Amino acid sequence: MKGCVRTVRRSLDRIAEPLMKVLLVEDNPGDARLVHEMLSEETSVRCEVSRIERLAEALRRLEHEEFHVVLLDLSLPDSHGVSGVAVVQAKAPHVPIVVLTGLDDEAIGVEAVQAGAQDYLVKGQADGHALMRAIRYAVERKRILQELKAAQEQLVRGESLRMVGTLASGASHHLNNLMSIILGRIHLLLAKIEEPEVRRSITIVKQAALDSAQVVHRMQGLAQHQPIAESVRIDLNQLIEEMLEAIGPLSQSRSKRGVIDMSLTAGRIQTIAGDPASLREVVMNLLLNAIEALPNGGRITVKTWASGDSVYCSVADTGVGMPEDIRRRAFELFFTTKGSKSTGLGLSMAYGVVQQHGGEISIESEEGKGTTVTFRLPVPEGAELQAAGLPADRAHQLGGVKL
Amino acid sequence: MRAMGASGQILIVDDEIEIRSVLEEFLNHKGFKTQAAPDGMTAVQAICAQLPDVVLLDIDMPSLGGIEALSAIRAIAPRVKVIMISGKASLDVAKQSLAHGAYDYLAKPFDLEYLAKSVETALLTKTLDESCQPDPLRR
Repeated sequence: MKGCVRTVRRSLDRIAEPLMKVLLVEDNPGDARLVHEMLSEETSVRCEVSRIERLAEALRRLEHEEFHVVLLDLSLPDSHGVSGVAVVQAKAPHVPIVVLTGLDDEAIGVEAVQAGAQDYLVKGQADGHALMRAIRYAVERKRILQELKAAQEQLVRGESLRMVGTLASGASHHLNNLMSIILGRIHLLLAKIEEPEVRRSITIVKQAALDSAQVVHRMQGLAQHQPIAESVRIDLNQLIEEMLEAIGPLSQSRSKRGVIDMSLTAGRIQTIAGDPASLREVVMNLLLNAIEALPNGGRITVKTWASGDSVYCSVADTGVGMPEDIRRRAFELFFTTKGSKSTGLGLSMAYGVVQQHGGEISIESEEGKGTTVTFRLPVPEGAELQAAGLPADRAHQLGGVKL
Repeated sequence: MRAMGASGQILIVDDEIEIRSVLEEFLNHKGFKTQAAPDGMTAVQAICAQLPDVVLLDIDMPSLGGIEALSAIRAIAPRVKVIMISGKASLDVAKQSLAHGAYDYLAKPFDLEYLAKSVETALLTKTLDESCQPDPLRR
């Protein structure tokens, strides 16, 4: 590949990919050749350079192909200045950008870095070694930035859960008192009133008050889920099996226009450590969501499997699915698409519980095809593999729902 | 069902006047005699003046809190059945209450019929206790 020789340098192993794919966006043939030559002289990393002349073409390539780095000239036929950085970043947010500037506009390099590029090089000043170094550092910097962002997101989400929990905990005493008065008075009123019209109205008020009490209770739950109260060994397969049995009759009553077929494909997984009550609630919430997504019937496939030091569980439905903007907000507190009937806490709660157990949860969805929610839980040291724990006829493979 | 006819004397302790009033009206309607106190201190004084059969005791109160009040009531009137009521539904509070000798634990917002059942069972248990071991302090 362009005469590059791979040398083994342990310190670079992490940074050096077996093959560094470089997208060079440069319209000037001389500058492009220079970059090519400099990179081919560099012996520490094997590079594959794809050169294109226009920004529009770069965006097309980035859509279909993975690159480790973009070398971006800032004066292209179809783009001039730092705006190009933002455009590339929007298309491929995970790919680092090193900007190439002319001798006379070094200031623009700084501007480009401020706009999100990882580094800049002044054309004609850098040799092959400096160019390679800039690329490697850009890759590494971007990776760290991505990790930092992910960690921050996770922290913010966890923190807002905790804050709502704390807030709810403080307010719940007051709210539960008020609710006691409302429900108590309703109870006394219903004992006195016989007119069906009035009774009907009061009953609606009563239900609303009961629902409010439920919301308060669930918000409090967010705070109480915090440290896992009592961590015990849990056979996740068995827990899921119990939840499926509990929810079975409900699934049929919810879906009036079709049958919901629920199955568990139980893998051989280790026991995990955790709080069974909150994990039951997680599984229950995921199953309820799946049922809600199947108004005309369909299939819910629950799978468990082990990989590395983790146990995985996915709940897949063949239901209505959700668009990307909804999927992205699904774990947000109070976010719901189900109107006033839902508290918008189910998935937030699931997120909180899984996080407290040291795991992760994610959603894949495609409109009209279905949704798969997958969570991972770490296996404690010394845990043994469990048998699938199910009679063979129940553990039949349905082929899964590929989304 | 009216356990004990109208003989049960219930002390309602809650800092919220509307809750005291709802509970009083409901329990009176059920045939119980009631008295009410706005805080733990007043409750202890009321118990010294007239021994109730059952105390409905709010846990989250200013001045003398529910758990402290519970301990005080258990000390001065060990045969009185205390039903704790809390606005902060948590298992810990329930466990703590029962460990301190509460008879039952209810979470707000409570279901009044369930509360009535709990009161009736408490009265029944108390009667059984007394038939086994006559209380020298009473009568």
